[in-house]
Amino acid sequence: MQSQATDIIWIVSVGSAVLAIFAIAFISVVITSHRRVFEAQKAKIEEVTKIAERYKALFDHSLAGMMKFSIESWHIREANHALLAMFECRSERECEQRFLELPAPTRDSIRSALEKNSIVQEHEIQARKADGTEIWLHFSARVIEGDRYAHAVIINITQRKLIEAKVREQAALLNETQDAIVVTDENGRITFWNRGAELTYGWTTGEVLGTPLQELLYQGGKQEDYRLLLEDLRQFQDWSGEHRHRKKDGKEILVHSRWRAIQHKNNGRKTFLIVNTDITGKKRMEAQFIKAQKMESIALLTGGIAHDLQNILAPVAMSIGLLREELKDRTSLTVLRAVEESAESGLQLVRNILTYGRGIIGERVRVDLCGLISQVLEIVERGLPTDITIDEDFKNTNCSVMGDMSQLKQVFLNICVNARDAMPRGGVLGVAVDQCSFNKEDLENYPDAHAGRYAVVYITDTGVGIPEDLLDRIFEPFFTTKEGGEGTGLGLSIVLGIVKSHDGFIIVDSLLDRGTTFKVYLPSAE
Amino acid sequence: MKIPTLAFISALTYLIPPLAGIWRFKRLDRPMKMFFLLCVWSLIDVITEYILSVKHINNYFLINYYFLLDSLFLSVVYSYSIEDKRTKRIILILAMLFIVIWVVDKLMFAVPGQMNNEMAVTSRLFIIIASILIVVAVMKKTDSLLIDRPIFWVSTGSVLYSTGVLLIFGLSNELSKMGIFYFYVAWHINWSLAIVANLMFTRGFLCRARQQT
Repeated sequence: MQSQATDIIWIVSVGSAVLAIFAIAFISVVITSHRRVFEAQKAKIEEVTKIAERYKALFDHSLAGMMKFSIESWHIREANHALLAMFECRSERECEQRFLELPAPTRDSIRSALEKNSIVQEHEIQARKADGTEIWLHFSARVIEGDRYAHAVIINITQRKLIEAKVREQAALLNETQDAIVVTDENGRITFWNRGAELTYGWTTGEVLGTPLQELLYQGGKQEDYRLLLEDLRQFQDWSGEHRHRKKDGKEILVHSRWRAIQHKNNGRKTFLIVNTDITGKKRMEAQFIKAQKMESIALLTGGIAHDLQNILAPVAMSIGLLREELKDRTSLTVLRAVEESAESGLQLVRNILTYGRGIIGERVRVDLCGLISQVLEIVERGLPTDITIDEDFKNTNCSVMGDMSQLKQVFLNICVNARDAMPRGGVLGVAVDQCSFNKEDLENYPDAHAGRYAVVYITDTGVGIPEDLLDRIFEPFFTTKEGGEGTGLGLSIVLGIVKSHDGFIIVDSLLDRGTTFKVYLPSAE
Repeated sequence: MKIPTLAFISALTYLIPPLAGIWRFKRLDRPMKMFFLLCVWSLIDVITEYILSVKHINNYFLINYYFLLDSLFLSVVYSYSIEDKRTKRIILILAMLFIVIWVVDKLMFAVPGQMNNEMAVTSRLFIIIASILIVVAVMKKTDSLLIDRPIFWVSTGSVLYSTGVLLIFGLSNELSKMGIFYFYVAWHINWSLAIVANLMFTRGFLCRARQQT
């Protein structure tokens, strides 16, 4: 009995101990496994917390405005200090109001972009601050949390916009100037080409950007000019002088060019600022002015000489009549006629010189130019060799000028005779009459013209032509290309004198072995 | 026969959890306040049992009712401790089942003047299952260490005590038939585990973490 009780006690004790140990083991396992899981979770939570703190710091201290907003209602759930400061608002609610005041199309475009692409990048919007001041913003956003909310980053670009506007204004001013303003990089590639440059050279900005300036304007034998210019520029940082540049149409122009090398402080790069002024017209005017002065001096000189000669020859001519009454023998009368002819010839020459020197003032009547030309051609036709034909083109033209008929007849006769003489091997003498008009803009190219209508007479030959170097001299008195004794050299100078006295001018175009065209412009009487 | 010293010490340890509960009462959450009441009730029960045993009066009727109240009180504490509805529902079902069994047992099988072994074992099993469910539920949801959760100490203390005394409670009538000496020898395990469990409950009252799962 006792041993049975002992056995039961033994079994109960051991069984209870085993069960208790199982319970302790269970508790230990639970604690250990949970501690491990907890530590791992804690580490993860700490990491997430750190990330959250970093994000929070970034969000709070960012210089760009940041917010989390509802795509549907523009309700702002969270906004950082920068955004509130940007709008000068005190609360997110106030800030939200600023966005709700945006024009409906702006809000709709942002919303539709977010719904469609889940992202909006650098959308430019114009908003108002709390005090009503307008500001420009760069609005970028990305959809988060499904489709309901988006994170936005907003940058105030008002200052940049103002600077851009100022730059545009300054660029517009640069375009207003007549000068060609060009900027190149250090390799000579064009980076700026203003409106003045477009007008001067003919190339548009789009055509020249990135093109080396050297290839564009300094073609042919002008490379050396460019090289020397760059050498000077390297030494002195700026350069100015005259250069001949080629235009888009192939013509050459003379420009006064100012170059300046600019070293940029921010990136160390060098650029060249070039201001070119087209002085072709100015130079031509100067040449014409010098020429006019020269002609005036010659006229003055020859006029003085002619006057003296007239005083000398007049008594000789007057004495001939008296001598004719005194001298009766045939020989003396023959000598006297020769003296008379020489004196008369001398006086005629003197009169011509005086005509050139003093100008011609004659009677001004309405002259039918076509009728006058017809009369001239009748005279000319009689003296023309058979291998020269006349090509007329004025029958249907009806134009008249105010002038002296005989003087004008002399003008056209003289030019026609010259044309005939220029065609020793025959050819075509072309005569045409036309009308034209000049406005103020045209006067730069026609410095002798006045604004208004003109009658133009074209007298063209297919003769030997006039060399370019002599073209400027053909109106000078006593200048002739004819063989000695064949001409006085006064014909064209008198022609010019007559035309000028009629407020007209003459333009001569000539090509060697191709022919010459005289264009006589006379103010129309219409 | 003289009452063993360990029984006396064990009875004294029932005083510690209520004292700790009083000390930390303001910081206790609702379930622990309820558990505090259970500890006070246990203390009163132990003192009464002790007085009755000193006066050689049969105290088994008290123990039999204690099994019911202890289990139900603990299930209420547990159900307030957790938010997991599924676990709550299971504990509720188990508690209702336990009541039904207890009533049936009381009406049909209980022998007056004897310890109700079946219900003792059943109550211990009920507490073990409920406590393990709570430990698992707390472990799943807690955001702090388990040892910082008061309910963890309550549930593990209950598991340890109930597991350890399962066999003794189940064979208590047999043991008492063998004589008081053998009964006391076996009952030493109960007293030892009661001391450990009370210390664990005290630790639960002293936890810093207040938030319950």
